[in-house]
Amino acid sequence: MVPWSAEDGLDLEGYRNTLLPPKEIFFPRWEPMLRYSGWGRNLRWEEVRAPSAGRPAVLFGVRPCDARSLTVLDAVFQDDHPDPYYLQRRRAVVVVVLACTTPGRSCFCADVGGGPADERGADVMAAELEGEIRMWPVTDKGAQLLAETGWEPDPGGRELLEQHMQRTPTPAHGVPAGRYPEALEGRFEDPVWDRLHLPCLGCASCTYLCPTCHCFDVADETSDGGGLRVRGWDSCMFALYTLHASGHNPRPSVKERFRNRFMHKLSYFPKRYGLLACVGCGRCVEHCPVNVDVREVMKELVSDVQS
Amino acid sequence: MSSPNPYLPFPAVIEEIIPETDSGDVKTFRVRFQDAACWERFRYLPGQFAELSVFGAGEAPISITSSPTQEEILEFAVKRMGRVTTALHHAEPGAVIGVRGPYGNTFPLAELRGRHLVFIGGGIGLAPLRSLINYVLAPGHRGDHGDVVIIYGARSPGDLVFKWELDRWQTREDVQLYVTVDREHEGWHGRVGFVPAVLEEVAPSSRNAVAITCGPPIMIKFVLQVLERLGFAPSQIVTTLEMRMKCGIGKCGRCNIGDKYVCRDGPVFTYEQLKAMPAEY
Amino acid sequence: MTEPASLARSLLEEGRVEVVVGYRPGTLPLRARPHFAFSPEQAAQFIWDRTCTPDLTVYLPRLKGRRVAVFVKGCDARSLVVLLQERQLSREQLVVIGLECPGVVTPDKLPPEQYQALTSATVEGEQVLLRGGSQLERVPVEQLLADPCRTCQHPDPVIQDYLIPTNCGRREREDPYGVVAQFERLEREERWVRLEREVADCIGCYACRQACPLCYCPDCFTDRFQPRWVGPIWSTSDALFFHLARALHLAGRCVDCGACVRACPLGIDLRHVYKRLEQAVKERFGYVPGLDPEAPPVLGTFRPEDPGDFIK
Repeated sequence: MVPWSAEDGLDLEGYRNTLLPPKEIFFPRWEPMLRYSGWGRNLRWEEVRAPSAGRPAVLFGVRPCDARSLTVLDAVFQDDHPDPYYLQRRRAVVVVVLACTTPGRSCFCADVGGGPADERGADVMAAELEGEIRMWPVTDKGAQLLAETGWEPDPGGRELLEQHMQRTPTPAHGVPAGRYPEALEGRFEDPVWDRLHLPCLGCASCTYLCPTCHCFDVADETSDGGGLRVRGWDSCMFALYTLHASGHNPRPSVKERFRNRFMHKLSYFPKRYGLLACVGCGRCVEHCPVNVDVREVMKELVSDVQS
Repeated sequence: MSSPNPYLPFPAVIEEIIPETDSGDVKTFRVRFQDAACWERFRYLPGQFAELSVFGAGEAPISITSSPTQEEILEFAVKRMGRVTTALHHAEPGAVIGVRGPYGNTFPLAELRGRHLVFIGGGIGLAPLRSLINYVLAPGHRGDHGDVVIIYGARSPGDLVFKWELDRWQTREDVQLYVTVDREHEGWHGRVGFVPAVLEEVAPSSRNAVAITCGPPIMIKFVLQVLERLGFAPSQIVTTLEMRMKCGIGKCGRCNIGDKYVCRDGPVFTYEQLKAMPAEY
Repeated sequence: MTEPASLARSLLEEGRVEVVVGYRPGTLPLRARPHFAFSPEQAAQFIWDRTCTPDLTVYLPRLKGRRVAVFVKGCDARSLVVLLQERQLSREQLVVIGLECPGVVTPDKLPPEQYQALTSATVEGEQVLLRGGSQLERVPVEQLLADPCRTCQHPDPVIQDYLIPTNCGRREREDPYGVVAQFERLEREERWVRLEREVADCIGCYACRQACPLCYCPDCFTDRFQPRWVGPIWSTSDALFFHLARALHLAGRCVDCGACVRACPLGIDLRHVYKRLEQAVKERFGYVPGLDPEAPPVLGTFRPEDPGDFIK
């Protein structure tokens, strides 16, 4: 995602999706939380926000899978102790979702309860139909944006998109997502993990490219006479993620971390929030250095139950 | 409409630092909020923890060892382990630290009412137990419970924490206290033996009792075996867990054990709950 | 007949190894993936073709102490030699299946939009057949050849117990340090700007490190808390420090297998830095890594005649 100005024009030719998911707009890789200064008795601190926080913006061209990922992130960041940093950004940004009229080869949103015209997470829905961009509001925030920018609401667009979708292949690969989380009950000790984790290198590319992964680390970055408490992305695939100060690590090897990642997406998260933490965007499929394919893992976990 | 920023710690002053162990690796910090109004927003119960900030070093989750029945002061017993705890050990009285919380669940106070209580602690594991012990021993609460048995041990006499507190409990007639050290030691006239062995010897009845235990994993492992032999059902055994944490409020992700977050659903769990969770802690 | 699947099958049937690590077709065009076979039946999936890019020796330290057969291309064999030199593995536990390598293809050579639009691809001799829906395109293998393959000096495994020969022709080798010369022609300031720009996109996922067979340290310098060398919250300066420190740690060790570049989801390519270090070690110490399992590691050895002109 890059800043856009009117002179840039709009070229959607060949656009499938962004490499990085839109989560970084709401949950940046690096974000200051507090500023501190002084020391000992004279230590002071206060809340700070990054200059980009709360700046009104329109996010254009978000794909429906990624828009739905925002509802997953909302569940976490709104839960009980609302996260002001995330929510401030969320309030300030209008999400314009571009329906997928030609889904990609690794997309499986329809398997995990979404779809190429899914409106969840969208403020405004847009679709490129017959060479024209059609837009219609989904939320009040979206309606306000369209009103302010002088776009005529286009109720016919939705119908036209539905018609188009009937002629378009569904982004589904037979991933039995409907069987989760139940299919994973009692599977923690299952020998299947011994096999499935083997190719995994233990890097964090899947988690960093994942639109729903939201784990973060917090650290103090000190410079002369003070510093910033900042947060940024962290990954359950790293050994340090769970390493105790005593040296004990409850998830000491790739196997435990791999298992936790899939269990979290398909079992733990759904049990806690009632949502699968996978929206089928296919980024991890496309970019895993060793082609660990989440679609196959999800299928194998279920096929082992049947056998 | 603005809710408070949950990541913003309250400023608190270290009033007193009490060295606990001979080696100095455990110190108790007595801490008071700079603004007394913070107390209103920091109502805690035994079993909960706080995130302590030493700016420049970071934040660490530390169990609250004081009891809410005490005066308006918080106590944290801190073992020097990592970056934050080391920085805290370097602090001096008068220094300002940040305190966020209270977080996590509490000991199951309602279920403890009317029961005999058996506390089994090892090393620094006495810290969270102490909050509950002083809570149940407080005037007005003691009558809610039957016998109070405390079995506490450490590697050596120098590793025992809260010695001043142990002396105080010793003098009470309504407390049965057993203090032990792992090995014979010059000048030590008390009990010698591992905590699980002492538990087996004391053999508190499991009838209408709850055992509350906290200590090193190896101790817990054998304590659980002894408790089962003594007839304690898994639902009658309560323990507290530690996991690496950052946010303390269920967002940063790392402290999960299965679908439970130690920071939200714990740190207090019954053995019955633990048995239903993946053994990944 | 030395065909990957049947060879692996017999090794497992005869009980010579517990597991065979090789390649099987991936779920994406032009991407074979690692395959671990523990039973003769599982061996049926093994393949060897020009899409078999991963350096499988990365898995060997994890399988330490087990009897393993592994498929290695020329460059992978050299990683294996370094692992043996550095006592990370014992030769006795290994059955090495060498693959005479004509060079591998990488989808990174296609524009991302074009690659994403592909539904399948097959390598036929020196041609790659790209299919995207009803579209069909033929491109020469040459066009998709991975950079290290263009300059590879050791396409045939320097260590092996079995050898699977290639029937592809060998191409002419390009100047291995052309990429270095190109970078060194730039002004000093410009070089720094280019380096910073190259790593600016780095998200700190450590895919490069994890894909590298020689980044086997159980406790990487990036994972140390005291002192904390990088991060934990990633910034460009962390990225630069990490990448340059990693490069230094691979000086005299890197065999230019290209795994780090292919693993990077952001396409960060610091091959010229690694090649420069390789060149420096070669010039100063006459040493090429990964050729002789008995040779002591160059930077782990001191010889009185070693150049000392860097000591001022």
